[in-house]
Amino acid sequence: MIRHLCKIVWNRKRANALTALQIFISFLLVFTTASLAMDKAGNYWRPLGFSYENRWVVNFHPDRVSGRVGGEKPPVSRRQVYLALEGFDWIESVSSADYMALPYRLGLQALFTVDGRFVSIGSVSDQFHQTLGLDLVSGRWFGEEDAALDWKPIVITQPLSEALFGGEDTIGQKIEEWQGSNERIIGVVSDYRRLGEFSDPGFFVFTRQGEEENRGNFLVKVRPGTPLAAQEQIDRRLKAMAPGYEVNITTLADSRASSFKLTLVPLFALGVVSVLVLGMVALSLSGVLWQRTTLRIEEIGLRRALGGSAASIYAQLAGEIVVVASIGVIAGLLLVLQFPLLELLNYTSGIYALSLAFAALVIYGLVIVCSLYPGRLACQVRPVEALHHE
Amino acid sequence: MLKNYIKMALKVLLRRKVFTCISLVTISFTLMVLMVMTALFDHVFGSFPPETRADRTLILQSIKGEKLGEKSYKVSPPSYAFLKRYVSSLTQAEKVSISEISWSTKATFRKGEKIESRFKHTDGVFWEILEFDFLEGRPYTVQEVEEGQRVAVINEATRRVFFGGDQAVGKHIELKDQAFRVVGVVSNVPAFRLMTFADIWVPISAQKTDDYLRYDSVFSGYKALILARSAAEIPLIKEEFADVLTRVEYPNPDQVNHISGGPTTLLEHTLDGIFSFSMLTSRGFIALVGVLILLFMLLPVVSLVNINTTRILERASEIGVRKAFGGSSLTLVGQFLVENVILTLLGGALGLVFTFLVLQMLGASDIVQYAEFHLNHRIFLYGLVMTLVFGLVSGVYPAWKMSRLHIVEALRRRKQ
Repeated sequence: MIRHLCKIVWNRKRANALTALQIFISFLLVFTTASLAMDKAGNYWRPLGFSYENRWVVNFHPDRVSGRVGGEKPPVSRRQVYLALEGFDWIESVSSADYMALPYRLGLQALFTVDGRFVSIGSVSDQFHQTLGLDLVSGRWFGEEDAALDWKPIVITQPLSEALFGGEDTIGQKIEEWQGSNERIIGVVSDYRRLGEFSDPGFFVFTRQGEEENRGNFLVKVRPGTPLAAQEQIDRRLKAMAPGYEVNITTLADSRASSFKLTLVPLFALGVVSVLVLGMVALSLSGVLWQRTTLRIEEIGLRRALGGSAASIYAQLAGEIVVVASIGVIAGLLLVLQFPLLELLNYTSGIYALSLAFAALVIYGLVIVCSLYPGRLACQVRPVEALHHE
Repeated sequence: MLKNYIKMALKVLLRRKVFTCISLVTISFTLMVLMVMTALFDHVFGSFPPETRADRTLILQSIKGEKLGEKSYKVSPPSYAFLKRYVSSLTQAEKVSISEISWSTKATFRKGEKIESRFKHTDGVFWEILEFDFLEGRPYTVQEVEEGQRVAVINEATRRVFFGGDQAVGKHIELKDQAFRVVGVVSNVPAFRLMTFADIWVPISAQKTDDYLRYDSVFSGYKALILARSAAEIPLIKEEFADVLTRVEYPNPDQVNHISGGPTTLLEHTLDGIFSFSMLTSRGFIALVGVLILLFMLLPVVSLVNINTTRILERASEIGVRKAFGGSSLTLVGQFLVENVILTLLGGALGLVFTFLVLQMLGASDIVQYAEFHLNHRIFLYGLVMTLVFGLVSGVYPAWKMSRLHIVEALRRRKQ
């Protein structure tokens, strides 16, 4: 049966080549869309490693155009700002972190790569893990006793520790890729996916900033139910302490929402376009099949006259197009399987297999559905009519 | 002759309505996606108010500073004093404006509501290089900036929030504990126009300190917009700046004693950005997007070719008769191409309507703040070119195939 189908397809190889090409491209399109979506969806279900609810970022900077270095001594120390923030009874916890360490901030300060991915580094104060709700898996977090050490303590994320040391005996190790550093790992947190739910497992290194420094922005955890209007109190208090300074407050929930939009909007657009393009392929495929079937009325009529069932006609038409589609799918499969070898994409093998299976399923489903209507038309032909055709 | 072809084309199209519909849907949809992409690209990079002179405007918004002989370097926006010294003096440029690179946010609390407005410091030339659409009032002048007057230009949205949409010129707006007199109101600038976007524009001299005038670092947070006399003179400006860089005096040579980089057009800058972005995301991501776009454009063409090739068989008897009476292959190919182009033009017209609807939806969805997308003659022209290319490409192979049909074979086939 299959040999017979292949023979029929081979006999009309020119006409079928175009259809196979169409299927090949459609397969690649479905695969890329599906794998992107699955990669993002896979990330979505992973734990984020921190909480964003009721967290505000307070940015306190002199009133001049950003990016300036040096300058005169500020009217208040950052420690005083820290204490002032701690003074609000609706603020549960305060810490400071530089630009890189805050969630939902894009930026690239990377000194080395692991497995081809950049490792981000950010400095944070001792309370940062409480304020952000980081989950310590092993070792310890920074403390005041670290100030006396003659090496720099660092805390890394679990995914990074797995990539570096296979997740074993991380504490006390040095990172070899980070050349010329005097750092040692003192703790591991479960994860820290800074850029949000859709980002890859976090490759992040926390360094400690001293009690007196409080560099960067302040992160505060407010009591649940605190209204946004309370930001005005912070604004007033800090401006009163340091005239000529500006205060800027954002909530992590807002930052998360805009980061969501940034990922979902393009993905959604891609999905819509892919579905519509597939619809187009389906339309043109049914058109082509329909046209070809009408040219084969005599043959089908003859089969009917000799007692061929309707089911066998459907099977014949569907079988032929499935053979053609297989050529496209196999070609696509061979191409896609080169990607991991070329290290083009860093998907996990699970996502690869799933997307390939999904794409194949969609393509075969599509061609079979497309062959149904022409098949029905063919079955409606009365054998007498068909035999009179010539 | 052409009239005959067109008449015939329409008749053929009407004969098999289902096939015509399939082709039209395919064509119009493909062209719609291409035209929407063109429109988005055009709105971000093309000449749109206020950046109506994008084709001859250069931007200097980051320089690379290093100490020769050392490995580390810093890529950062230049300082005001640096730009004033070395860019404002460029003789090849028609005008040079210095403004803040990003914007600052000002929060106003009103009855427990938080209103955020973004403001940008600019000089007076800013308003001469860019053509903002003034709803009322005027821009602030070079002189007002020099005198350090507290004046501001606001956008429509800010006027609505602060003044209830009433006339704002002459009224005051509080910013950084100071009252700024509103001198003009402009239409909203979409948020993707990073060079110009803000809610409130104020003079660069309205900062509380004069720090920005001191040349104590080459880096800070400013950019220069350089207007060339014509697009052709852009290379001259780049050359002149490269020459100026060799004569720079460094305020702190123990940290930075060499600068590289130069002004770029907006498009060049964005391409650089995409390149460095690709280092951030997974390696193949950008390649993947490119492949996707290519595949997307190829697929409709292949679909159309496929359906056209099949449809020709339907007209075998007609072709047979034409050939038998001496019609050359070339005329047949020509006729079929004309038919196909007519079909794609129809599809293109439909696509234009869809594009209009999609752009309206995008504007209304508020994905980008203040964004409005319009169809303009540029997008229409690109669309027309794309339509013609599409029609020709998808018609050539089927037409060639048709012209090669054997006369006997063709005549033998009966009309289905």
